Amino acid sequence: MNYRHPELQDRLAAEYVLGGLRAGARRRFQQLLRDDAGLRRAVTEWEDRLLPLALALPPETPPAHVWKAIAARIAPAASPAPARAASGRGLSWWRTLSAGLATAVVVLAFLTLKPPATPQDVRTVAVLSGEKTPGAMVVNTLPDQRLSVQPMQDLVALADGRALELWAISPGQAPRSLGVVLPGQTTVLSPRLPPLQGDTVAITLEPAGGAPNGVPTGPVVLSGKVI
Amino acid sequence: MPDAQHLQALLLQCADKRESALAEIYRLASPHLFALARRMLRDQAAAEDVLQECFVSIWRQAGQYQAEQSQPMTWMTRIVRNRCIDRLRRPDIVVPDPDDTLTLAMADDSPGPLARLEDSQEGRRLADCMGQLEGPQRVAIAMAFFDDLAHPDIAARLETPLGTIKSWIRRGLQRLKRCLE
Repeated sequence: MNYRHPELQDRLAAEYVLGGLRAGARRRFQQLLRDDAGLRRAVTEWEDRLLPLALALPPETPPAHVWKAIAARIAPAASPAPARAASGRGLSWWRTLSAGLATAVVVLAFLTLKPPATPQDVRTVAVLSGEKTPGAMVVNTLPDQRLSVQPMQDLVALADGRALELWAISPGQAPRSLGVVLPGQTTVLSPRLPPLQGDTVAITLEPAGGAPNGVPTGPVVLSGKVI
Repeated sequence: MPDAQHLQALLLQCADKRESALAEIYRLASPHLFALARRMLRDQAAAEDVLQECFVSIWRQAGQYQAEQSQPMTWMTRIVRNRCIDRLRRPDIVVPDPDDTLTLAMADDSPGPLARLEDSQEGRRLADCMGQLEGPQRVAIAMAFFDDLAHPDIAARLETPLGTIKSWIRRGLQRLKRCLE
């Protein structure tokens, strides 16, 4: 068979993408693909034609532990565990966090160009992780500038009956509360000042209703950086 | 349906190792990709495994994604579909029979799975063109696509000679191609 014949290539590419080439035929075709740009193009064209068929299926949200496992696998090897403020040690955790970041942010301010605006409705601004809970929470901005805070796993056990309060910490400044979020569902918040690029965002455990004086009192259980 | 340009921008960010970009891709695309893996594998745990592996692959291969060659959703669907096929065709895997409700519904001209396809920007033209095929052509293509059934298995399920199945699929694909041009 002359595999270079365009009509044959096209027919085989279509069958390959649809799954009709079995066992040995599929393996041989994949070998041919490696060396033949024309065949690869034919396959890509058929993929663009046929793969959107997948959208005919009703979408199904995967269980939360799948994302948790992915987040753990893509996390940088030395992912910093969030500082845990013991009750006697006061509130120095955010000073430590922001001091280190301040230098980095100054450098970045000179280096980074304005990121290209992308046509999008929702933008993820930070992913929060805990010591044993990588990628546990995602903070998104909505088109109307409100924040949507989405637990990627059930955080009821982590909250342990206390309120989860979300904070933003700009380098060198005191934490500002963004609001209290729910452990088991997405919360939409309208903070006066949203988290800014370079801020650290963190969740602390607080009494019901949130920290009484607008100052965090409990341990940090999740944290992440605003990108 | 996730916006293609937005997904492209996110894949670029993944190539720069921004975890939040993958989180957003996951939020947007995983319900579609998970539905495909569940449908093809007919096994919840296997579909979860495949989804996990595929998102790790998307993260690692994001730098190789070329926007001029394929749509981001197509690129990710290919990763999921190929991994499902590899798994389904392992000799030690016993796969339960597929549920024919969806594939047989493809034969109807009434709104069914094609209506859902029509709702998405990328799927609209495909839905139109699928709609122009004959019912049996659509069913045979759907059984190959969603259930990874080989031609003889499709022939058995539809109680139709193998040669007829092959020609339904071949002619169906040719008509689809002409229609989509």
